[in-house]
Amino acid sequence: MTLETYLSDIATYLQTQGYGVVGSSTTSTPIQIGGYYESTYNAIFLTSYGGSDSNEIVSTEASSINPDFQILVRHSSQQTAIETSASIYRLLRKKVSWDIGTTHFIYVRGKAPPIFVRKTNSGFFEYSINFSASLSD
Amino acid sequence: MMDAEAGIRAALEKMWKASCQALDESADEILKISSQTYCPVDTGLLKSTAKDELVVDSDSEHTRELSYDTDYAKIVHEVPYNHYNPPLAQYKYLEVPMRLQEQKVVANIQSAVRDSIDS
Repeated sequence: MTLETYLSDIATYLQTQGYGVVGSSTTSTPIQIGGYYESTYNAIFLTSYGGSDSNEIVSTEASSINPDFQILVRHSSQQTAIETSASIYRLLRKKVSWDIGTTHFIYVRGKAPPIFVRKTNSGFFEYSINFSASLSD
Repeated sequence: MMDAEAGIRAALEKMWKASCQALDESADEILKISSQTYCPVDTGLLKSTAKDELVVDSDSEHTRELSYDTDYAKIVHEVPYNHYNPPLAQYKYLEVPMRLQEQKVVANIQSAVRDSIDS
């Protein structure tokens, strides 16, 4: 069930690395999956958005699925948003044969360094980091 | 000997031109799919700014850049949000069709090179 749960595993990993707390939190930065809200709090959002077909040869492992996912970092301080997004990018950009939770990642690859998206109407800065992954199915 | 060399050079030239043309056609197709199927439409401004540009064209590199040339293009592309017009409109409206087509681009170039050798 890796396709259904891989984002949860990454969110939990970010929590163990000290980026925040999975779900809702008023005392720490919430790390939320699949949702995006025009909310007025610092947050990290993980969203899956398609990917590529698995008929490319990426490893000797027989069966893989290749989703793309995005991590959106929102913070009231632009400097913190820059630092957090850069730090997450460095953390995840080159993972190979990586087991986390119930997921075996053949690889996680950063597509590009963080992209500044916008300053929201409520004064929060948003940075987008995009990744490709390949999972054992 | 010179004839053989000239022949190889001519064949390589044909293969290079064929692959460049295949890339151009593939890029054009990706942008059409992006702008007509995936690009969200409200005022139509975003869709109208779809741009396919040849940015490098030398003897060893041929690069096309696909983009949308308006201030908020990046925001619509990167902020997850439900778009309903047209029905498949979505964020990542350029990246998704590009990823969907990437293997076809490779196949198109391979096929064009093969055809140039056969012709």
